[in-house]
Amino acid sequence: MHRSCTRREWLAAAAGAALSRPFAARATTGPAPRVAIGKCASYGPELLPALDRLFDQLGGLGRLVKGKTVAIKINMTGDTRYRLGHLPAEDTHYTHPRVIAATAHLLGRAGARRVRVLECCWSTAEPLEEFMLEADWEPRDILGAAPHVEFENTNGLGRAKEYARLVTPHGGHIFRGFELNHSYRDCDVFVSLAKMKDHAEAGVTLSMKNCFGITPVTIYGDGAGLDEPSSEPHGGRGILHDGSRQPSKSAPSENNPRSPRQEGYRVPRIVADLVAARPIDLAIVEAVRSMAGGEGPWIKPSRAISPGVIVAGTNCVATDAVSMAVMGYDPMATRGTEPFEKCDSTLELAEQLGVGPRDLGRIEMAGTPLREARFPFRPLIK
Amino acid sequence: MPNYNGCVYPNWPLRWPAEWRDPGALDLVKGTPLGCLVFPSTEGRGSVIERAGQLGLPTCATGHPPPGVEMVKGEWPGVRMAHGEGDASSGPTGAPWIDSNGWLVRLTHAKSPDSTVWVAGDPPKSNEIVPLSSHLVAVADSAAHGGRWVVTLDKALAEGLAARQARFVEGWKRLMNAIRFFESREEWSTWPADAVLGVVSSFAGDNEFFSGEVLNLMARTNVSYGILMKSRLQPDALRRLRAVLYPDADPPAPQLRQALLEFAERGGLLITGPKWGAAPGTALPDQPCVRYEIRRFGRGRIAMAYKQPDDPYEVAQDAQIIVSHRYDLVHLFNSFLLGAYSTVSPDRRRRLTHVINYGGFVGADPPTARIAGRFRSAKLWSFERPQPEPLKLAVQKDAVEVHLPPLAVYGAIELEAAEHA
Repeated sequence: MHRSCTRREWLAAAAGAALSRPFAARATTGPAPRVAIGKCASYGPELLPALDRLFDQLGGLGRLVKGKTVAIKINMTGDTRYRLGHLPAEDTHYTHPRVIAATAHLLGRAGARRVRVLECCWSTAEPLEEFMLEADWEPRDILGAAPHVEFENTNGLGRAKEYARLVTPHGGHIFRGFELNHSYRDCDVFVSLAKMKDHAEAGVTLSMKNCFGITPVTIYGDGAGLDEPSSEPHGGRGILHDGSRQPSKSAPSENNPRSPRQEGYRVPRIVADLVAARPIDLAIVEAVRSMAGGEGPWIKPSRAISPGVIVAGTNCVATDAVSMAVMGYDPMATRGTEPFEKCDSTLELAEQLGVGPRDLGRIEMAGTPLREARFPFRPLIK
Repeated sequence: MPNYNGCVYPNWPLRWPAEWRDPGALDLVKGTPLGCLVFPSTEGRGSVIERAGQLGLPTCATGHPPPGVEMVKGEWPGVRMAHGEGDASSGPTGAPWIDSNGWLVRLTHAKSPDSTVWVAGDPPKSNEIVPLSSHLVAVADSAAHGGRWVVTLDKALAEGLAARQARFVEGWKRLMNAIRFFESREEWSTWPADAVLGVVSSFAGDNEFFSGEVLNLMARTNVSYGILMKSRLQPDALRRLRAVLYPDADPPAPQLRQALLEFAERGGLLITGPKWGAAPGTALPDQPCVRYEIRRFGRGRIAMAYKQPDDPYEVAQDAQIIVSHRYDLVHLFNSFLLGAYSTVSPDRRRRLTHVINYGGFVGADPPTARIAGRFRSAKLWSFERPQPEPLKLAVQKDAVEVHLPPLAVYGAIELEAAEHA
């Protein structure tokens, strides 16, 4: 289990945070992380074998999940009523339910004791099943994909009586810790199952940016209580974006409330802090179908695309670096260069926290060669 | 003298604008479907009223509608933005709050089934800019729910019309065409709601405000509801419902209690509060709503609130979750400013889903409607086209999806049920 900290540990981490800024890049040592790339043209029968092959290329799921509780953070960003044109959300900006079901199935087959599918449902405390039904999904297809599949809407307390506090190693860029739904602590293996997309504020949204959505808006949202979390989630995470106020006082406040309030500064740093505090054990970035131009139909101009590719790895920075390369971007790009014209690079910031490497030269790639999987996003919206 | 407008009385009402002082303004009403003039005050209007009488145009004072009419105080339907991430570049925008008089029209009909319902909103302030779309939305909102909006002109429109300015005359024609659209489809106003959940209440006395607000807020969920007056509830009224909500603070009479328990026992869902009394059955292991305990009872369920609900918003939201989105009749996509109301023909062969754009402007992405049921054809009626536009059906399991064109104000999706549906 990923454990929460004691008060003593918390104080030590906070003191460490004060000493550690500004960050020096922390070397990521050890063997080069492996990232697998797979082509998959549709969400039909070819999907399951494509995913199975990807996981085999990573060394198999069994060693990672056998006998364990696995939590999967999916991406259902925004209100279920958004569509790009008439296209269903899963064909553009949501993780496709068949990818979720196939992943759950393979995790179950590999011996996972329990699979918990998680998402902070937009502005509601309703069960995740209900949110899926609103999107015209059939939750039973996912619940029945493996022996013990559960859902939880993590935008509030959910089934727990208190929030879990997770500490950011080395003090974090902006937050030295977070208060999250218990599901992000009470799991042995954490999977980020993301959609490969551009992002208006973070340049790209991949396995790491997907975790921006693990923060409950009861604490980190516009409607959060000032002292204590609000009882119901309402609205979005404006305060994380623009820093207009601090989270509920019951949660760790920012390390430096005078740091820039600019979204392009804050969002990448908060994402890096989150994936350091809640490490991703398996990163999956799907783009069988997706959209270019932004993270959702509310970003214009944008268009639906069919890259026909899935990327997976056990290191989220490396997986996102390969995903960026698939999208036609340079994973070593820094602020001011495509796709980070208006923001810092989440990959660079996560690398500084020691989460993983973004240099393709330090990543072992398996499966479909990168050149065959490459699907440049940016020219499609120019 | 034949009726000035050749219309059947009582007809669509017009609040006589303060700006129209000359009886000659009655010419503007000639040939329109407006059949009754409503005067907030008769002071200084003697010559207009006299001339209207000569022309056979009925008049009445606000608050004293003609016999057979229930006039209720409504509000201008439209959209208010709720809190949220309003900057489109920073994420999905906040959810808008839609004001509609639909629940009020339906409740008034339920209380007085033989009456025509007129809905009167306050006149816009003299400096308020009211787009034509607001007038069209007001007409559509009342008419779709079976009522009639008391046409109330804003100052600019009234003055522009009095001066016969072309753009205002053009707007006036569009407004009258919208009314004609509903007049020529009066049959639609008699079709009952295609309800999934019935709200059973006295809607009077101590329950009046609370149960009325529940209806108002229920309309903002996706639950298709019907209104059931508990004083004259017939068991047959429950036959097609999946759920019943009993929000009243007083326990039901024995006969009503029995009827609702039998409904649950036969497979229905009863949602109520502790004032109901002890609930039979056994608690289910999975509880989808924190404020309720769901109990298995016979083939159905009883959802009993832990404490008597005092927030109608929570009651409506919780009812949506307990009933489940699985049974939503309509899902609208790209629909943040849209509202939907579904009715069914008496023979149940045709379903009508009224779609109203309360924003009065077209969004960047076109709407899509997913409608539960099995249908063999669909067409779209709108103000702009004299004939309906066929819609292509994308058939799903137990539902169809139709791609709609941008709707500036209103459209009605008419679906024909498949054989053996």
